Parts: sequence; structure tokens; C-alpha cells
Amino acid sequence: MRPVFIFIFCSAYYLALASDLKYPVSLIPLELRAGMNAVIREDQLVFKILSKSKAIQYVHFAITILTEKGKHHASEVIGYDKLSKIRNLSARVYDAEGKLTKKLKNSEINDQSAFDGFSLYSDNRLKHIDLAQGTYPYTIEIEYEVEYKYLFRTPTFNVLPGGNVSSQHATFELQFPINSETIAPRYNLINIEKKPKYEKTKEGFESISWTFENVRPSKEEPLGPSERDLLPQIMTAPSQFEYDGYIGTMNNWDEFGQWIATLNKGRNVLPEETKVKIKQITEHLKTQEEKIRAIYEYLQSKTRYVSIQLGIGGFQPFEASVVDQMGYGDCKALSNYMVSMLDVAGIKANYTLIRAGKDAPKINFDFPSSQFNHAVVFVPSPSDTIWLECTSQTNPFGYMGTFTGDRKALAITDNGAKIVWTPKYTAEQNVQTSTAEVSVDLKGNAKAKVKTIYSGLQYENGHLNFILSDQYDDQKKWIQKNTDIPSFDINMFTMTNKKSRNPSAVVDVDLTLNRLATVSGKRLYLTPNLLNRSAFIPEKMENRKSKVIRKMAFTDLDTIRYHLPEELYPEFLPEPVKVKSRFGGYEASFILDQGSVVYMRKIIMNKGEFPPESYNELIEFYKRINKADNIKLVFLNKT
Amino acid sequence: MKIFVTTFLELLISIQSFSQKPPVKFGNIPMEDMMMTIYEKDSSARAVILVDYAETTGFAVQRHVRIKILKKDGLEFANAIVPLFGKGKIESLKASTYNLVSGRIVETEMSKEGVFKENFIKNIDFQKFTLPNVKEGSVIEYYYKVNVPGIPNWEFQKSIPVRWSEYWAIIPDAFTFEKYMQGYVFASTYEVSRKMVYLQGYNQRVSGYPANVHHWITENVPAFKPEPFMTSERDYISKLNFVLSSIHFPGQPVIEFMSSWKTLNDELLMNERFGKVIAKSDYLKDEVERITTGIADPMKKIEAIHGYVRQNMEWNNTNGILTEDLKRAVEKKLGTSADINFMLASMLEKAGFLVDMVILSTRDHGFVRRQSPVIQQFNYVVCAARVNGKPVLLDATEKFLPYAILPMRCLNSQGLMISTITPDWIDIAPKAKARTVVEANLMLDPGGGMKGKMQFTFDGYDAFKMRKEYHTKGEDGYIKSFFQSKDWQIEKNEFQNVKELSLPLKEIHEVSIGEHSSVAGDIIYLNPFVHSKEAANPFKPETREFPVDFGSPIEKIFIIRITLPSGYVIDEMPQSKIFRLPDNSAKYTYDASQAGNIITITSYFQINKSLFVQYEYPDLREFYNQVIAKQAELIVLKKN
Repeated sequence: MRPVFIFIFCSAYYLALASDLKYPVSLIPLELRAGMNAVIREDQLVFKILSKSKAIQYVHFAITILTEKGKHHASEVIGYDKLSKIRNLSARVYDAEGKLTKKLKNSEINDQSAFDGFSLYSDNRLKHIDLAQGTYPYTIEIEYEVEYKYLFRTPTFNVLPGGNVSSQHATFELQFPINSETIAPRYNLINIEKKPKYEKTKEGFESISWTFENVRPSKEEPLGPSERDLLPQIMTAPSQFEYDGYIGTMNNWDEFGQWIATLNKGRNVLPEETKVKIKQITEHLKTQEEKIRAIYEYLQSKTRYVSIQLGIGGFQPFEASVVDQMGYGDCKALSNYMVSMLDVAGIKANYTLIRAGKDAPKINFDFPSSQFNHAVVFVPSPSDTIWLECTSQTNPFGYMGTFTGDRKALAITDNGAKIVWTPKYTAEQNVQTSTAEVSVDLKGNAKAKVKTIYSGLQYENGHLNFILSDQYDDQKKWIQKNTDIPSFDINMFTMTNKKSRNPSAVVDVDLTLNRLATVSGKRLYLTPNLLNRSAFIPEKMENRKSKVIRKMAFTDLDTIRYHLPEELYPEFLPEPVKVKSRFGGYEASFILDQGSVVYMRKIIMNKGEFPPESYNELIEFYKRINKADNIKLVFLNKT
Repeated sequence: MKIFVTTFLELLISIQSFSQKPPVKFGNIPMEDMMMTIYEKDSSARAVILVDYAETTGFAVQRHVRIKILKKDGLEFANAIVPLFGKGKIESLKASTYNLVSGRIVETEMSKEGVFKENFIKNIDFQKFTLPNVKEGSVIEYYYKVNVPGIPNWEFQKSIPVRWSEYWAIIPDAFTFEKYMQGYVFASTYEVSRKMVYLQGYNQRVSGYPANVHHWITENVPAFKPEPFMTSERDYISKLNFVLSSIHFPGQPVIEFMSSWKTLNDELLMNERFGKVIAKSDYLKDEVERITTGIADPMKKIEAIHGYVRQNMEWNNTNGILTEDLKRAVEKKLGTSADINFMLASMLEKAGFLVDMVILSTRDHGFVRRQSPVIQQFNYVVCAARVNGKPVLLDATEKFLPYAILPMRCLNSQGLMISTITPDWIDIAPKAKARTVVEANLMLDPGGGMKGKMQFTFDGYDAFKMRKEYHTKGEDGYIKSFFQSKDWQIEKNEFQNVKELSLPLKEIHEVSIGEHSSVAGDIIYLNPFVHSKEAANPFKPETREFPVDFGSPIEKIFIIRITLPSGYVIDEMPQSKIFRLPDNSAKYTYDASQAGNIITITSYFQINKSLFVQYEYPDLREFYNQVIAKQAELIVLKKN
């Protein structure tokens, strides 16, 4: 018994010390501090499920801010809504030695509506505190509880927040009543191999917990996996739950889909007039695709996107009849409306959940849980599936693009749900074709007529897809911004939008290019690659560790004919260039043709993941392309 | 200056009756507006405000807005947000959408489902609403009354064109407002007439007061479009501003809010958070003595104190003219710009300097208008220490600016010195340039490669920018981004005076440059601008609506000495050239020379003033074009 006693004695002594000084910086191991902006000292998150509609989250968090760049970690934003409440929020600040220097006052808690920048209205709110200090290092400690009157959203535990922040000690614990498997939480470990600890608490709860000590972030490398894919994370989800009166389970995607279907149930009723209207606009059309297109165009002309997030955490769409009457709705309301209208025309479509956004993090489909942020419509067909984005008045029919294309989505079906892929866009589809006629005079001044066709995902270059329906001066600004020539005047331009399932935009520009060519003495110099010069070289790296990722496949074709005065003849014509690698291929040629010079360039870039050792090849590839793009033509004057 | 607003609101609660005649009747939409598909005066407009009407009596506003939606990207104008302050509320809100359906105008009224009230933060609510059934071609209109503090400012100009903008401001004689118009659009009508208005006080008694009725109309106002190199949009949008200057009810004393710059000066001097701050800062005395012991030269003393404040205090990125709590800020080592500069002033005063404060408006806060002596025009304070009777302006918020240079944000032409002895306007001109000198000494090899040393010297605002970047990214990160997308080999990097702000900052790289020339047989074509090239004209549009403001003069000097490989001679050399704008406001000098086997190119780019007005724009744009063309010229070398 003796040794136990000593142990208790020791820890009591330690506690006594700690109560005077908390989190002194001297207790952070050096290897945890080096190169970091902040170090998490303690991160305890307990999520306690009380019943299928009640839970409490306890948070105790302490972080030492080491440098100015870690400053934003000294502020905390806690969200809540009508069904949740923040309690016992307290915070303290300690100096480097660990002396308490400040306690948070109630007046320093800012309470405000959670304005997300695009919603007209949302009933989410937040509390915000900021404890930033002027002298580094210092430590802030925050404690609070959130009481939920529902069970649906459960926490995701991030061991590290990302950036140069390490963690000294972190614990994540899930608790739930004994003998109640039906409401036991589920979890999924990402970049973590640790086994959890199973216990029973004194209050008689089951407990599953993980403890992490001295974790340093791994470094993100250029053109590699993004940081968020490397961070250790524990995702959680309920099994049975109740959200604002709607009971469900989500042990698999079918169950999740059934719950979503319950929310949408009975919300598809359209007024008679609208039904008649839909029949009118579709009955004379032959193919299913024509009918879908007609209804989609009707939707686009009748409605607009207004984000209003009310009740059930913004999961339930407005009724179709409301959208019909008001002419607006959010993604859920408009998608539900579209499905309802298609139904009237006898076309079966699915309300589909997705995670939208260019380069949005992938959904973890191995772990059924609420991971979506957008809704679209999926019209299945054995031959030709059609996808509809219902929040845009201008989006081409059937086009998904970078916002929702090339990813898995969850279609809600009669029996549950089905995982489906949205359209992919290949190098053959994502094509930019430029053709130009350029007349150069002896002074080096030039006039150019350029036609560029942007198709596939290149239709979105510099947000061109939006610019197409913008006003004249915005379009002109787009051309000024996206024309890569040092100085030019635009004489005239036109933009044409060719909407289709693989849409394209045609931009015709008439330019005056004063001093395009450099004249000095008897020579005239011209860089024939007028519009599409590559200047990017990936950062040099020794010891590349992660794979190389190329996210978009594309093809660029440039054909430029230079008309030159008779007095000029080329001093030399550059040799054609050909570069080939696993990342893609490049060709450029310079041909003399009936007194004019024709420049042709073709580049095809592949999409994919490549081994770490290929990184230097990629650098080499770009270097050679950049060099080829800067080749100059040199002309001599006969006179 | 919250105090003004509350006083005003508490005096009276409401004024009866809106009585002017609006230019249009709610619901009465002319067919030609329904049929409009493009707005004639601006065919590219996505929407046009047909009528923007408001009538205010100082405590309440009634507003009537009618908008034609022309394109899909104009649909956003069908959502509206009205901020409500204090106990403010919106009344009589009605809104309707009008669509043309088979030649007939069909009205859809907004129901309560389209109206939301959101508590944004304490004392500020947002009243939001969204109109139903809005499509391309719809006309929408809404009307409401809302209580407001004071007379709201009125923007004649918006991001879309305004066909008719009309404002009535009924100001009882008991209230005096300073008003001024700004921008490039002028009212087509302005009249003043007299009438009686009825005010209800807190005692519930309604009394009649004579009032001036101001009436403005502007027609066909073009859309406001911001441009790059502008100080603040607020300076240029066409707008009427109102500032309460005094209240005088019959038989009661006058309450002055603004009488003259002199009064403002005196009030600030008496203010506990301004004029009284320095006297109460004895706790800084010991520190001042410690820092200044043994320093006799006044400028050295200033430098030492400035250095202490700059290094010890962190700016919380908040501007202001009044201190929050200086003592606490000093303890926390964190404060607003006012806290930091008052600390600096206090310490200078303890060191024996005569110190005054200078209030100013930062560049993004807009110009100061001398005709309106109101504190709201200012948002920043710096201090002025006298050395040999001359004021030296000082600011200690930026860690990487030496004491004699004010941050760029302060350079907004003038400030007001608050002083017991010499209150006056003081010029705030840039004391430093944004200057970079690059010197390269490179050996060319027959393969076209170059190797040697490059030295960068940064001064003024360029040194500030570089130090800040160096600090943010760290040395490795800085070097990495310097060499980004350059096919250069680095042999050695060196930095000098990164910490010593008073000395020019030097950055030295030993490099090999691979791809800067092309070789064809016996010929080498070489562009000498391995660095410091103007890559593209920053002024792409052919025309300009507003002045160009660079903030400070600019100087970029590039000198390169290239040693030729043996056996090579010059076949062609760019010609030396000078071009300049009138008065040397911008000047470019290009000089090429040869001595033995060394070619020297000197490029000297100068922008010698910070503000260029609209009519100078074409010349400035062309100046850049010529510089770019000159810098593209090549040297041609031939093997003997």
C-alpha cells in the first residue's frame, strides 16, 4: 500500500503547484514548440448522449500562443441555435510563467447572428470571444458546455487545427447510457490508428475515449495532398436520433436517405395551374431530354436563389407550392420543386445531396453521416443520366462544372439512398482553342483579331461562365484581366455563350498592340506565343515525400498567323519543340508560309496522382515549356 | 461619437406626418417601364433604380424605391436589408413585384413569409425582406417608414444607374445641420421652402415648429464603378452628407455640436480620453528616464522612445482618435492606434518635448472637408513633437517603419493639430518614397547563361514592405517566394539591416540565371532585365473616371553590368533614351553603354508625385506602355 500512497502524495503536491501556475510555457517539450505558432496544451472534448434527442458537449481547451501568426487561435466562435444553448462559458489568460492575468467578463462575449455572407436569413447564432494579448507567449484557457435538445449533429474531433500548431495533450470522449446500443454513437478514424479505451463512468455511462500526446503536424507539400487530408480526425455520428420531432437512424446511407425523405414528404404538391402549365410546355416534345430541358428552363426563368435557413437546421425544403407562389427558394427548395415538376411530366428524378465547391473535401462515403452542403437533381436513365443545378438562372442545362462535377453524391430514392457519380470532364472536353491573325508593321505595332473558344471546365476560366451573363463593362474588364499581353487597346469584342451539356464560350477580340514587336536597329523581335505563355515553375524541393496531384485535365490549342511587311525576313526560324512526360505533352512549331509566320502550340495536361519521385520531372517539364513559350522570332530588315 | 446620436434621439420621439408629394404613386407602374428591356442611358445595366425617394423629418424617414430588373444578375436587388438602431423599428412596410403576363401587368404582393427580422448584435437589428416572383423584366417596388437618428446621408449614386433620385429633408429651425455634397454628379433641382412641423416631446405635448424644407432631385445618375489606385470609394460616390451642428429650442440654452474648429480643438483638449491623457501618465516616467539616459540629441531621443513604443506595443488594427484606457493598454502591451500614439506622446512629453496631437482621416476613410468642423471626419491620431520649433509627425503602430516615416494610411493630405498654443492645419506629405535599387554584376557565358551577384537596396515604403514580408514569411519563406517561378540557381543569400530600421535594407543574392537569353549559332540575343521589369501596364482601361492615387512617389532603379564571354562583340545595342511627362511628374531614363567587354544598362523609373488627375491619365498610361516597350529591347552579341 505504501507506494500508492506516495504516488497520491506526489500528484497532490503537483496539483497544489499547478493551481498557482497553470500551463507555464517551460513545460512544453522543445520539439513541440520548434517552428510552431501555437501549442495546444489541453484539448478535452466530451460528447455525452443522454437520449435520442438530448446531448451535452463539454469543452475544455487551453492553447499557448507563441507568435503573432498564432493570434487567431486566441479567439473562439461557438455556434448555437434555437435547439441548443451555450452554458458556463468561462475563459482565462495566463502569462508565460503561468500566472493568471485575466478572466473573461460577460461583457466581452459578443453575441450575434451567424451571418454567412450569402444567406438572406438564417436562425443560427454565435458567441464570439477574443482574448488576444500583445506580449508573446501567453496561454488562453476556455471552458463551456453546449446543451442540445436534439441529436443529429455530433462533433468531429480534430486533433490538430492545421497550420503550424502542435498538441501536447488531447482527449476525445463519447459517452452514452449503458445498455442502449440503439443510440450508441458511431465513429470513424481518419489518419489515426489508435484503439479507443472502453470504460464505464461513475454516473453509469458507457465511455469510448482516445488520448493523444505530443502530436506535431506533418508538412504540406506543393501540388500534393492538401493539409486537410493529412490531419488526424475522428468523425462521429448518431445511430438513432431525433431532430426537431423527426426521428431517424443513420447506420447506413439507406437509413439516412429515408430520414431525408421523411423531411421532404408531402412537400411536392403543386397547384393545378402549374401542373397544366408543365403539361403544356412538355406535351409536344418527343424525347425525355427535351422535356427535362423545357422544365429546367421554365424553372430558371421563374425562380431565383434566396438562401433562407429556418428550422431543422436548414435540412427541410420549403414546400413546392410555396416556391411556386414566391418564385424563390434555396437549393433544397428549388431542387424539391424541380423534382415535383418533373414528376408531373411523368419523369422520375431524385432529390440529391452533395458537397459542392471547387476542390471541396471529399465526402467520406464509408461513414454514413450528415456531410452535405448542397442539393441538386439527378434524373436517372439507363442510357443518359442528366444532372440539374437548380439554384442558378444561367447555368447550362445538364452542366455541373467545378462546383458539383466529378464527385460522388447521395441520391434520395424510394427505399433509401444511392451513391452516384456526377459528370466527369476530360482533357478532350476541357479545351481552349485560340486562333489569331496578327499584322505587324515595320515599327513593331500590330493589329490582332483573336477568337478563343473555351469549352468544358475551361468555360469557367476566371469565372467566365458568370461573366457571360454580366454587363458589357464587366465583360470588358474580364478581357483586360485575362489577356496576357503587357499593353493593348481593345477596339471591339464580343462574347457568345453556347449553352449545352458541355458548354462553351466564344470570345472574339479585336486588339491594337502598339510596340508588340521590339525594333532595334536592323532587327525586329517578336515572341510568337501571344496569349498563352506559361510562367509557372513548381517550387524546388529536396526529399519529396507525398504524391503529386494534378486536379484538372485540359487541352490548349493556339494557332497564330503573323502577317509581316515584305521588307522583313527571319534571321532564323526556331526548331519545333516537343516535350513529353507522364503529366502531359507539349508541342510548338514555327512555320514560314507565303510571307507570313504561323505559330502553333498544343498542350495537353493529364489529371491524376503520380509518385513522389516524379516531382522533379514535373519541374523539368514546366521549365522546358516556359522556355519554349518565350522563344523569340528575329527578323532582319532587307532595306 | 455616440453621444451626439443619443442626445438627439432622446430629445423628442417623433414628428408627425409625411407630407411631400412623391414623384410616383405606389402600384402605378407606367407600361413603358414594364416593357423596358434595356436602359437607354446605359445599355449594359443589369438593373436600374427607376425611383429612389425619401423624405425625412430628422427622426423618421419614409422611403419609396422602384427598381427595374433587366438581367438575371440584377435579381439580387430584389433582396433588401434595412439596419435598425437602438429601439428603431420599421413601419408600414409594403412591397410588390409587377410582371407583364400576356400584355397585362400582374402584381404580386410580398407576404409576411418574405420578411425577416434578425438581431445582429446588441442594439442593431436587420430588417430583411425579399420580394416574390421576381424575374428578368420585373419591376419591384417597396415602401417603408423607419425611425432614424438625425438626418441620414443620401446617396444619389448607386452601383446601378438611378433614373430619378429625390430627397426631402425637413429641418426644424431648432436644429442646425451642416450639409455638403460630394462626388461628380450634381443635383438638377435644389429648392428651400418654409413650413410648420409638429414635434412630440417626451412630455407627450405636440408643438408646432417652423422648419426649412430642403428638396433635391437628381436625374439620370450613372452607376458608380470603383477603379484601381483609388483612396476610398467614399470620396467619389455622389452623396449628400449631413452633420448636426447645434440644437436650440426657444427659451432653452443652445446645445452646440459643432461650431468651429476652435471649439472642437478646445473640447478635445478637455476630453478625458484625449487632452487629459498625457498629464495622467506619470507611470511612464521611470521607463522614459531609463531609455533616454545619456542621450542628448533630441532626434536621437525621439528615435529611442519611438523604438521602445514600437517594439513593446502591438496594434490591434483598430483606428481611433480617443484612447480606450491607456494604462491598461500599456499593461497589456496591446492597443488601438490612439492608445499607442498617446503612449508615444506621453513618453516624449516626459522626456521634455513639447508635444501636440494631430488628428487625421486615413486614406480609406476619405478626405477631410474643411468647411465642416465635425469630429466624425477623423478616425486617426498621430503625435507631433517639436524639434527646434518645428513639428515632427510620429506614429508607432508599425513595427517596420522608422520613426520619421508615417504609415501609408496616414498620407491623406492634411491633419488638424490639436493644441493649446498653435491649433492649425498641418500638411501630411509623404516623407519617403517607395524606392528600390537593384544592381546586378553578371558574367555571360557562350551558352547564354549568366552568373554573378545581385544586390537589392530598399528604402522608404519599399523597405517597409520588404521587412514586413520577410517577417511574415521568415527568411526561408522569403527566399522561396523570391525565387518562385524563376529558373535560377541560388549560390548564396545575404540580408543586411533587416532589424536596423534607420539603415537602408540590403538583400544580396549570388545566382546563376539559366534561361534569359537565346542562342542561335554564333548569335546571342539577350534581354538585360533579369529583374525589375514592368511586366504589364497597370492601367488597362483606355479611360478613367477618377484620379489615380499612388500614395507616395515611386523610384525603381536597375543597373546591370554584363561581362561578355571572350570572342563576342556587340552586334546591336538598345539606344539610350529619356521620356517624361510634363513637369517631370513621371520620368524614365534608359542608358546603355559599353566599356571594354562590359555592357552597362541603367534603367531609372520615377513617379514623382502621388496624385494624377483624370486628364493626365492617357499620358500616364502611355508612359507605362513606352517603358514596357523599352524594357523589352534586346542586346545582340556575335562571335567574332
